[in-house]
Formats: sequence, C-alpha cells, structure tokens
Amino acid sequence: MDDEESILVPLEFLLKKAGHEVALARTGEEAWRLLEGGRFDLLILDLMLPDLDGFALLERLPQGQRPKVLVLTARGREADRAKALALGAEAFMAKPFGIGELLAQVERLLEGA
Amino acid sequence: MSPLLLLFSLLLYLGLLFLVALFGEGRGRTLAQSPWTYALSLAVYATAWTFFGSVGRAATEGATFLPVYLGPTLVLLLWPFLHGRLLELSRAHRLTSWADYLFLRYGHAPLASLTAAFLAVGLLPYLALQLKAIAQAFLFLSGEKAPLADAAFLTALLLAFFAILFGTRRLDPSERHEGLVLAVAFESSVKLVALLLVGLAALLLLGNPFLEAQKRPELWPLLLPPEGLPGYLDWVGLTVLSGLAFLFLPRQFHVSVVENADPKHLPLAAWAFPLYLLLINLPILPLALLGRTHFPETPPDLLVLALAQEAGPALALLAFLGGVSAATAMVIVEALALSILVSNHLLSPLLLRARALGSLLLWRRLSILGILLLAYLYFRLAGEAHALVAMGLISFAAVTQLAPPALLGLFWKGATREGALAGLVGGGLLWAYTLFLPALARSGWLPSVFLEGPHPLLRPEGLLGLGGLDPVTHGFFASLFLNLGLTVGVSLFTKRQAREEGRTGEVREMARLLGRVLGPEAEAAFLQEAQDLPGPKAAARAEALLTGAVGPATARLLLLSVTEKAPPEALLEEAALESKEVRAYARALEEARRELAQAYERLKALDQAKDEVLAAVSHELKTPLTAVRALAEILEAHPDLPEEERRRFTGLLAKEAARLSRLVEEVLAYAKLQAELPLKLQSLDLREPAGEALALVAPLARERGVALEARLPQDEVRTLTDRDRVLQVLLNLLQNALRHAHSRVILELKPSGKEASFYVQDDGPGVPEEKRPWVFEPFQSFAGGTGLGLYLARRLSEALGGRVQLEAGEGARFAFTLPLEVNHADSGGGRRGEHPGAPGVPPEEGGA
Repeated sequence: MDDEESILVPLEFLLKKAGHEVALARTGEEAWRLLEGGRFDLLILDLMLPDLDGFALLERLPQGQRPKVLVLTARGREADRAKALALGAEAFMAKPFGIGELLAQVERLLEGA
Repeated sequence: MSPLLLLFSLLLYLGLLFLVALFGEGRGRTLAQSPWTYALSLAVYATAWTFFGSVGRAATEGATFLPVYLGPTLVLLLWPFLHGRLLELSRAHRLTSWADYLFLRYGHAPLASLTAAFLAVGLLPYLALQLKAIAQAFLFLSGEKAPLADAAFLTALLLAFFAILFGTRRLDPSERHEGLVLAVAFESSVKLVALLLVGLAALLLLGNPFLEAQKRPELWPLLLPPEGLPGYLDWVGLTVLSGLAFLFLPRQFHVSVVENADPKHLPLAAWAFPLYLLLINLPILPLALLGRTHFPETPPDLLVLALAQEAGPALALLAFLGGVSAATAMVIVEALALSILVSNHLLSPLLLRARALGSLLLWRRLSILGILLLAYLYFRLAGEAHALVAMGLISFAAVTQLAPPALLGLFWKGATREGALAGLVGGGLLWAYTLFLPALARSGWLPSVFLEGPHPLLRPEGLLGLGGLDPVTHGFFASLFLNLGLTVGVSLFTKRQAREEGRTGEVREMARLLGRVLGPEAEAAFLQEAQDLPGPKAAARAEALLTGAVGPATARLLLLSVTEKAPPEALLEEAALESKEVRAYARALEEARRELAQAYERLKALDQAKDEVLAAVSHELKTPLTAVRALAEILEAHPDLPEEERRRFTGLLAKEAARLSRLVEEVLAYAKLQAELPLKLQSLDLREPAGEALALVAPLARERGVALEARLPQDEVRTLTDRDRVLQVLLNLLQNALRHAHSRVILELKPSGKEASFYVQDDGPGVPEEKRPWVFEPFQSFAGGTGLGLYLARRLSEALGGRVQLEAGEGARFAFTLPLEVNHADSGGGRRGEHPGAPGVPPEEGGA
C-alpha cells in the first residue's frame, strides 16, 4: 500500500516479476477493504503520513490470520522504527532503498511464513 | 510693685511656657514644624540684651546698637549658599554643633573638645548677662534693695530647672525638640509685642522725642553718624562680629540647623527674620531719647522698665515679662546647646575612658545645672562692673573664634587640622588676653596688670600702642586676625591628613551597642533600618546615631570595639557605586548584554528553523529518490521490457525528476529569502505581485488543463512590505492549488479593514478533515507535491507579519493575509527576518 504512484508502479512490477500476486491500495481505507476481502501473506506499508493511515492501519490488523508487515518510510528515525515494530510490523525499511534490498527482504519474510 | 506679685507672674509665665512646650510635643506638632515657627525661633538671637541693653546702649552711645542686627541681616543673604550645605551635612552626620562639624572635618578629637571648652567659658558672660537682666528688672520693679546676687541665684536655678525640663526629657539622637521650638517661638512673639507696646505707650504718653531732642545739644551725638576712622571701624567691626556670632552661637546652630524640620523653611526665614529684627528695633531709639530726657538718673539698661512703669503697672509687668521671655528663651536654648557640647565633647570621652558612661541624660542635666551655676559665678565676679551690651559682645568675640577653622574647613580643601588648632588656640588666647581677663580685672577680681599689660606695647585693650578703638572692636579684630592668620599660615605648611578609613562590622553587634547607649528602642529601630545595608554603610549609620547622642569623638571610640577596618574592596565597591559614570557604564553594559541575549535568541530561533527546513528537505528527497532508483534499476535489469511498460516507467522517472528539481528550486528560493535579511520593505500595490504570480504559473496551468481566474479589486491595495516574499508565498499557494485542482483555480484579493487577504481556491477534492491540522507541517506531501510549499508559505507570511490559513468549505481555499497598518516603530526596516512588526500603509477601505 502506498499513495505514491511512482512507488506503487515499480513495486507492483517487481513483485509480480518475482512471482507474487499483488493488490494495490492508495489509502488506508482501500487497504482495509482488501484485507477484509481476502487472505494476504505480506503487507508492504508506506508510513508516508505517519500520524494518519500507516500506524492506524497497523493497529487495526486482526490478530488471527494477519499478514506479515513490511514498513517503508522516508523518516529513518529510530522512534518510527521502534513504534512500527512494537505495533507488530515484522520488518522496517528506510527510504531510499534499492530494489535488491527490498526483494531480499520480501523473500525472507515470505520464507519464514 | 509687690515682689510677690512679680514672682507670681514670673512663675505663671513659666507655667504658660511649659504648657506651650507640651502642646508643641503633642497636638501642636504641625504648628511647631511650620516655617513661621522656624523663623520666629531664630529670634532667640534677640535676648534680654536686645530688650533692655539696646535702649541702654542707644541712650549712651547712639545708634551703635544697630550693627548687632545688621550683621545677622547681611548673613542671611548668604544663607542659600551656606546653610543649605550645612543642613545637608548635619542631616547626613547628625551634627549637633559646630564642634561636631570641626571633628567631622578635621578628624581631631582634642580640637573639638577644645572648641567645646572654649565656647562654654566664652559664653559664660553672655549667660551671666541674662541672669543680671532678670534680677535687675525684678529688683527695680519691686523696689527692694535686696542684694542683686540673691535674685540672680534664684533666677539661675529656675532657668536651669526649665532647661532640664524642656531639653532633656528624653535622649533622642536627632536632638529635635518640637515643644522647645514652639516655646521659643512663643517667647519671640511675647518679647516683640511687649517692646512694641512699651514703645507705643511711651510715645503716646510722653510725646515725640525727636522734637525734644533738637532742643538739647547733649542728645545730638546720639543721632549723628560715627566720627572718624575709629567710629567707622567700630561699626564695621560690630557688624562683622555680630554676623559671625549669629552663625556660630551654639543656640543659633541649634535652632537653625538641629531643630530645622525642613530645609524648605529657609527662604521664608530669610526675609521674615530680618523683618523681625527691624520691628524689634523700631522702638529702641525713641525709647532711648525719651529715657534720656525724662529719666536722666536711671541706669541706662533699666530705661525700658522705667518708661513702662510711667505708663502704669500693667505695662511695667508686660515689660518685665518681655525681658523675662527674652532672657529665658536664650538661657534655655543656650544652656541646652552648651550641655550637649559639654557632654558630647568633654564628659563622654572622659567617662568612656573611665568606663563610667552611665546615664547620659543625667550627665546632660548636670551639665545644664553646672553651666548656669558657672554663669552665676561669673556674674558675681564680673557682672556688676559691666553694662549688658559689653558683656554680650565679649561672648560674641569668643564665639567668632570658630569662624576661621569652620568656614575655611567648609570652603577650602587646604585647611588642615594643625592650622585649625593653631588658629583656635591662638585666637582664643588673644581673646582672653584682650577681652575676658581685662573684664575680670576691671571688676577688681584680678590684679590691674591684666588691664595694663606687662609693657605699653602689649596693653590688652590697645596692642602695639593702638588707641582710640572700642575695646571690644579692638579685641575682636586682633583675635580674629591672629586666628585667621594662624589657620591659613599653618595649613599652608602642613600636609592634609588622609581621610579616616571606613569601618565595617556585624549589624547585630552595632545594634547591641546602640541599645546599651541609647536604649532598646534605638536598638530595634537600627536593626530594622540597617538589616539590608552593607557593613560599611551600617557602621556609618550607627556612627551618625551615636554622634547625635554622645558626640562624634566618643561615637567613634565606641564603634571601635564592635567594628573593624573596612577592607579596601568594600571601599572600592562603595566608591564605584557612588560614581555616576560607573553607574552609567554599568547600565550601558547591561543594555548591551540584553541586546546580545536577544540577538542570540533570534539566531537560535533562525538556526532551529533552518534545521527544521533541512530535515524536511532531506525527508522530502527520499521518496522521489526511492522511486527514481527503483525505476532506473528496473529499466537496467530488464532491457527486454515491452514498449508500453518501458514508456510508463520512463514517464514516471521524468515526473519524479521534475519533482526533485522543483523541490530543489523551492528550497533554493526559501534559502535565498532567508539569507536576504533584512526585509526589503517597499510601498507596494498588492495587485502587482498577484499579476506576476498568475503569469508565472500560467504554463503549469496550461499543462494541467486548469483555468486560472483572477479577481482583483479596482482600486490599488497599497502596503509596505517585501515584494519578493509576497510573490513567493503566492507562487507556492498557486502551485499547490494547481496540483490538486480539477479544472479551475481562482486568485482573489480583498482588502478588509486593517488587513488585505489573498484567497487561492481550487475545485479539487479539498483537504480531508483529518489532514487539515497537518497541511502546513513539513513533509506532509500528498498528490505528488514537494511537501514543502505550504510549510514555506507559512513561514514566509509570518516573517511579513501576516499569516496563511486553510479556510473551511468546498475544495481547498487558502487565505494569505497581510497587515495594511503602518507600524511606525518598526517601519525603518525590520532587522529581524523572523518578526518584522506589521508594515503597511493606511487601509483603503472597501474595494471589490
């Protein structure tokens, strides 16, 4: 989930290329509907608007069959990382990152599932 | 007249006097402290000598009684110059006499003690004169032939009793006695009224004496001016003598300086007192002439009484009481002043040395009694040989010996303690040789060699063979010139001694000392007063308080036990504090420190703002950079991408690159504006930057297919502001609007009251409710903005004294408001980029 087309498009391309099924959401509401509608292994969440969608969504995730969560953020602050992890995110990546790093991280999370 | 009646009225009068004094200390306190009371109390100068003696002198020597009053009148011309300074000194150091001043100026205890002793001895003739006047009047009116001495003894005891009652009821460091002052002023009124009434009655009863005098050649000399050089010298001598005596008589110092309630009383006294002297001298000459024509056999000093008796017993009684009032006022104040002198400068040092300070009040009372008994003794020894005026003048000459050391001390820095001592001793000895001892010899109590001298050139009343001068004039000039010569001469050849070093100590210990000497009230008062004073100041205060009660020399000795030398730093500190320039410098320093602190705070705020912007910029860079990197890596890793995909990715790449460059431009623009401190204020029509901003964003609007609309007023909207910053804010707002608009962006300018607002409205989705609080924060970008535009717009508008707000309603509507009011205080050009007052020009009301 990301509100930036420039991030969403290449991510979608890469993940599909790596053989995953991908659903895109631009806002928290969209993401929430998708999550309710089907089962996901991994949620890639951009904390672009830290006080709104990102963390709120993280908090609202159902405890049972919840997907793994990878948090992306432009703010590399330690506090954000700690908060994200405390709210149940499995991994955290600070922008900017290379596609190699991202794919490696995604594979690691999915293997552990 | 029956002696019993006389005695009864005398006691009645004294009782009335006591009531007046009680009134002055109670409900009449305001009256006692009024300027008129002050002026009248100065008339303590006019004694029985004036009341009886002036007529006597006029009847024998003519108008030579007048210089005695001309002198004080002339001295009063100097008052603003001399007395203001004296009052100031006296207030600061609690001076009670000239001896205190001499000690303060020369710092030499023996000098002050010598002065006190000399004054006490020198004033005995004067006091004796008052006793003689009352006793003489009493005997004359009663017709008794009882020895003069008996009546005088009784008088002395009575007056001592009253002086003790009035002056020593309590020990007060300020030595102020409101009751006494009011009583003295009352007595001054009584004697003036009495003498004027006697004169008036005599004139009405006996006719104009001046017509009669023309027919009697033996009276002519009384009405003619003095003859020859000796005559002129006598006049000048007497004028100077009495002028100086007026300044230096202990009782005059007491009423004019010590009892002065307010320095503002001086101007009134400066004319009221000479007027008093004029009035009381009006009847003198007529009375003298009438006396000479009608009572040629009566002793001259009794002519007033004889003439009053002629007018009836009531007037005789009034004349008697007038004389009594003149004498009692003088004796009471003089005895009190002398007792303070004697106990402060003679007794206290001795008693302190003997460690028997005891009750100071008791010593004061004993001093008064002792002084009056000594005066009585002098009267017995010499009084009967001399006329009243001559006796008074001998005392005057003694008192003037203080003039050279005191006046030179006040106005000449070069005067030294050795000079003052030499002058005083020399002048005093010569006074005794030429005036005091011959007076005793004339009465037969000393061998005649004191009248003739050991050698013709050393004849006491004609030194160096001088002849023809009045003995008093001669003695006065001789002793004063010797005194002056010695004071100046010795001062020139001796070095000025260093000032006494300051003392410092524990306030508590000083308070205990004050309690021991002055009583528990003084201790408590001092504790309260000196609690917050630094050591040296408290010590000076304690010394001043003690000085009032025990004299300066004793005060210093007492303080030695509870204080120590003030360290030099304290002195330096005190000197620095007292220096005006240093104070001004300290103020300037403080001002500079405050400005620096303000500048520092401003810089800190600027620095913080810069950090914030920097953090915002670096974060804003990360999202597009991530996209660019990911897209570029994909393109590189997948050369075989379908054409459609490839075009999509390169399109995104170009878009992100453009976003990056826009971000850089915005940051640069902001940095440039921030760096260009101060604001470049100019008178500006706000429609002009609006037009330019629209022109600048027109290409972007075309590219996005958004229509731009301007709603500007017909009339100009002028204010004093920074054009570049206004333009930048408008650009940021317009670019933000274009990014969110569907089809239309409106820029509107509306003046309203003291402000003018730009409104930038788009027809986009608007800002979601939950995001509204964050739109002006950095890195809150949505829809591909840089995230900095609105944040920078807000900061820039605040720097212009305005604000940017997000209005409620459909779409997004931003208001950018600027003040129109001229703020004159800051219109010179805001030094501070962050906060430039509120520039502008008078509002043009209305508009579209």
